[in-house]
Formats: sequence, C-alpha cells, structure tokens
Amino acid sequence: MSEELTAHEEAADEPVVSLENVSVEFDTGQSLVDRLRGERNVVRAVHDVTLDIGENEVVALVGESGCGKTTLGKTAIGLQEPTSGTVRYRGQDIEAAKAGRGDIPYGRIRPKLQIIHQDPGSSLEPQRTVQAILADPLKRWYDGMSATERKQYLVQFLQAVGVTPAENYLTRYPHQLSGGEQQRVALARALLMQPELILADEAISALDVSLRVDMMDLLLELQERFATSYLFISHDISNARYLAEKADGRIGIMYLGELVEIGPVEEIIENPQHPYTQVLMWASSSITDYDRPIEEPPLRDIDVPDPTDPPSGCSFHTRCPEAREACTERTPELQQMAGTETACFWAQGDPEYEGSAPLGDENED
Amino acid sequence: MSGRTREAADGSDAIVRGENVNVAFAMERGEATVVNDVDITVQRGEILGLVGESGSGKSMLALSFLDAVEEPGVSRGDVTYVDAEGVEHRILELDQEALRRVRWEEIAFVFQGAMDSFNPTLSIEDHFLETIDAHEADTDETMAHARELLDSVYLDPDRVLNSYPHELSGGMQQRALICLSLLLDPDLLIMDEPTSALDLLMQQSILALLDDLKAEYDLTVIVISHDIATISRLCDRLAVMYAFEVIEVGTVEDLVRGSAHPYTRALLRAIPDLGMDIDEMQPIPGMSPDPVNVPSGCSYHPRCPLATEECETEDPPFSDVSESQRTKCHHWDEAAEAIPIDFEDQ
Repeated sequence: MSEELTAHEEAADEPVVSLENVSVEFDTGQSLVDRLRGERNVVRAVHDVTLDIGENEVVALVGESGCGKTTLGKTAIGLQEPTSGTVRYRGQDIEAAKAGRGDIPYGRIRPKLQIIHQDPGSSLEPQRTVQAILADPLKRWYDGMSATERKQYLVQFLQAVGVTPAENYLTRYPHQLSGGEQQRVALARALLMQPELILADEAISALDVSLRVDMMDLLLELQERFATSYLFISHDISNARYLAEKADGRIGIMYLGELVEIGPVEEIIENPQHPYTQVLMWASSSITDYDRPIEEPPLRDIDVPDPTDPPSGCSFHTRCPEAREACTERTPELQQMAGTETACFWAQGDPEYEGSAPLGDENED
Repeated sequence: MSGRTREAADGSDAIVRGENVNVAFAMERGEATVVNDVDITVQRGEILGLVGESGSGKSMLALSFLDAVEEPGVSRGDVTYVDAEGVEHRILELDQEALRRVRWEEIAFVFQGAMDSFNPTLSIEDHFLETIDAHEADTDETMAHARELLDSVYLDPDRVLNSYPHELSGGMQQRALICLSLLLDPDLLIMDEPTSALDLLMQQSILALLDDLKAEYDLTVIVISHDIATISRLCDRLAVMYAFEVIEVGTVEDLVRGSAHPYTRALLRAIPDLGMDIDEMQPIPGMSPDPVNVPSGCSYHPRCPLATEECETEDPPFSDVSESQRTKCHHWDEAAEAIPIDFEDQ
C-alpha cells in the first residue's frame, strides 16, 4: 500500500475523537427529538460520557443490550447527534463542522470515521457486485480516479483484508460470500476511506467462534498497517479482551447509558473495581471453569431497569449487591482508583456511603 | 425420584439411541448430507452438550430424535427412544399420531430464538392453551402446572400469562418458552442455542434455572450450542460435531483436559477464552466443508496437521480413549502432542 494511503493529515496532537459530557436522548415514539430533557417518554441512551480515543488506540465498550454502547459508538463517529455535550474530531466540534462553522470541513471528517456492522450481509446491498459496492465511495470521494485505477485500488484493498484472489471476488454478489468474506468486504469498504477511527459494532459476534480470532487478528494487522483506531463494541468480554489486550488498549464498561468503569485491559479483567464489572467478570466463564457450580448471578435483581425510567442516584443500585441508601440519592462520578477509573461510592470508599444503611435483598424499586 | 425402570444389558440406561443416523436434502447441486452416519447414545438423566460450529449438523441431528427435520430434508437410520417404562419407540418409523404424542409428552424441543417461537398475535396464556388443546390434556390441571412452572423460573404467572410476547424481555420470553416446553412433563428436553440471544448475566440465570428444573422434573437435557465455554458448566458430557459427524464424545473434563481429536483441540485453541493467554489462541486454518462436497476419508484431513495418506482414504472408526471418551481419529494418540492446549490454570 502506498505512502499517501496511510498518511493522516490532521493535527496529531489532538485525540482522533473526544467526547465531552455527551448525552443522547430519544423520544420513545419518534426517532430523535432534540432537547426534550425532562419529558416523561424520553429514553436516556447515553448519559454524560467523557472519553478520548487516541491515535492507533483500541477502546472496547462492553455492556448488556440496551446499555447505550451502540448509540455512544454512533455518536463518536458523527452518525448520531448528541442531545448535549460535544464530540470533537482532532479538536474540531463535529456538529459545528456539519453546520459549516468549522476549521475542518465535515466533508473531510466524514470519511475518517467509519463503521462496520454486526451483520455484514445486510450492510452490503444484495443486488450489487463487490466491485460496484466498493467503487461507490471511491467515486464519491476520489472523483479524479479512472475506472482502471479504481479497480486496481480496490483489488489492493480486497487483498489487504484477505479476500484472495481478489479478482475472482469482484463480480460476486454478497449472498455468494460466506459470513466471514462479507465482513471482510465491509471492512475493505471502510478502509478505502483511510479512516482514523473505525466503529466495529459487534463486528465479530455473528461469526462462528472458530473464525473470531482470525477476524480479530485481521483487524489488528490492519490497525497497524493503516494506522487506524478502533472503537470495538461487544457484549462478549472474551472477545473484547482478546482484541483490546493484543492492541494494548482499554476496556470501558457501560451500564444504562453511563460509562461506569474504564481502564487498561488487564486491570478490568484481573482487578475490576466496580460491582457491575465484577459481576460481568463473574459471569464470563472460561471453559476451564467447567467444574464451578452454576449459580444465579449475585445481583439483587436479574432484570435491567426500564431505561425510560432509570433509577435515581447510581443507576446500578437496583441490582447492586453493595448498594446502600446513599446510592439512591447521589450519582457517583468516574474517579481514578487502583488501576481503573470507577464510578462507584463503594469502590471509592465514599464517607456518606460508608455511613448509610445497606439496601438489603428486598428490592422495593 | 427417577422413573428409571429399565437398565440395558450393558448397564447403560439410554433414553435415545441413534444408529447410522443420516439427514439428507435433495439440492440442485446434488444430495446434501447434513448428518452423516452418526451413532450416539444419550443417557437418561444426563445433560449432554452437542457442540460444534454452525452448519456442522447439530440441530439436524437433534431434530432427528423426534423426526422433525423439515422437508425436503429426510432422516434415515435408527433412532430409538426409550420411555420411562422401558418401552422402545422407533422414532423414524412412527406414524403421525404416534409422533405427535412423543413430541411434547416425551421429548420437547425448544427452538433457537425465543422471540420467533411465539406467535406475536397470541398471549402467552393462549400458547399454553393451544398446546393443551392439541394434546387433549386436562385444562385446569395443566394450567395449574403451568403456573407452578412459571413460578419456579421466577416469573409472575398472572402477569406473564396475560402478556403478549413483545411485552416480555428476551430473558423472560426464554423462561416462558422453557415452561411451555415442560408443560406436558416430557422426559427429554432438547434446547437449541438456549443462551445465544441473551445477555451475559441472563445466560447464567437461564443455565442455573435449567440445572434446577432438570433436578426437579427428572429431565434428560440435550443442549445444542456453539458456545462451549458457557454451556460446559451445565453439561455432564459433550459430543463434538464437525462436518456433519460426531467426532468425539466424553465428559466435559475428558474433552477440556484431554481431548484426543485434532479438531476438538484446534477448536478449544481457537475460541477466545479468558483462561488462556491471548498468544496461545490460534484460528483453525481452512474452511469447514460444504455438505455436497465432503472430503473423502476423514472429513477433517485437509485441515489436520496429523493427516496422512490413510486419512485421505479411510474414514476413521471410533477409538476408545477411556471408558468415558471415544474419538474418531486415526492418530488420536498423537493429538495432544501435536496440538498443545495451554490453559493458564495448568
């Protein structure tokens, strides 16, 4: 791959993407209604998240379905407008750029922030060939390219993602590809734009277990080759750990729209501080745990609360085995603890928490 | 209290015996064999995990146990179901009426994806009533049992019975579906990917419930899953499928600590696992075969580091690795050395 394909133009001293106090709210009936804070039928998909994603960094977001990880991911790449807070690309407010008020025009930002989906089959148009699918973005963003140049260029990319011999795949339709091949074509399409951040939303969850390591190794190889960062979203801690640990990255744990703990992979896996991370780790079996007895998760309530009516105070208090009265009243913020940043009064040894009464097993919420 | 009254001559107490089980589909490109000559015995009272990659034939094999493979698929061979009284039923030879009785009343099958198994226009109670009707069971008595079952999986019977499927979370739907499958007191419960669509914490909860239900209702359970790590704690034994065949069977410990099949070993090494160093994990080279074009001899030979000429031509027989473990490989005694597995706790 030639030099200019990998060079990034924008300021290297700014994070690729930074989120500052980002919240996203949805009206439950409609798609998106801005500024409806305080109204009853609003779902708080993301609440007050601050997160920087650096150059060549891998950040994995983990949480149960409905925790807001996908919404946060889409917000980070500019596909979802935040209700409040700011999302910046290399220091440039993305919404300001969209409105034409930026130093970096949105047309330059958009191709740098790419996405690959969980189900590559549905993200590739079924009635078009691989060549047509891949040529589209090139026509749009590189209109000076001749048809021959375009073809050579995308053959290169198909080879880079391990679809070989690439020439044989150009005339195929998505349904003629295996799941793994479809995901590789989707990845090639994202890479054509020389992105600086790729949102990989459950990108390997649909693949068979035996293919996942292979796909993650490819993601990592391409990360090095194209100097890109990943925001990797997964409900599966084993996968998040594999990808993020190999890239020396971080894992962030989300719960009901909030980032409740984030830190280096080994710290999150070996020494989690937040009770929610601890119960997720408890539930993530290694196959070598086969003789450990099966038990109900150590939670006060197995079901996730209704996101349209999130609990007061710390939103985990309805399920948390460590919850006390103080947790129903105040909301903990992320603080640097042992090896991670944790938003939990119990982990932080908050004096008011220490002095308040445990909530016990009965759940009145 | 178990209902077992019959012990086979060899001391085993089988609930299902499959011999030379085949499932084939006629396709344009030729006949696709999606289950290829499988011999398998399920012991009464055990939890057997049927594991392997998607498309390896797990669901098709299990569907053959109640002759429920959908047309144009055809199951052939012998499937014997032994009921609690010791009466043997040749499943693939039963007429429709006899099959109808065996399904639900003897063997219940919970399909993958609870969401799709419920009819969205019917309340949960209607689903229970429909099943009662179809099997001419006593409505009051059986609905009382339904409430007991729902209660035992931590669901509020009044609330859930009056709900429509979409009003329940995925975990609640899965629990309600398990209750529905146990409504007519089957002896054998087959669950296809019971945890795959669920969140991590709900997965553990469902597994704990299955463990309890199994003890409470004297069930034999077959769990089909591609997620070996998640189900291994529930299972007594595992049967591993590759390319439409069962290639290794043993206790969970046999297979995790001493698998003797190169594929099982490669699979264990390929699955991201928190108990293994990331540098030890390796993908399996090559692809699983297409059902219309299965390699000759041992179907794993094109991907196997131990393959010899013999493997290309001779389909390996099962070898007994131990009393509880058997494996279908010519070179099983070399597998451990050739494909080392290094879990961190060893």
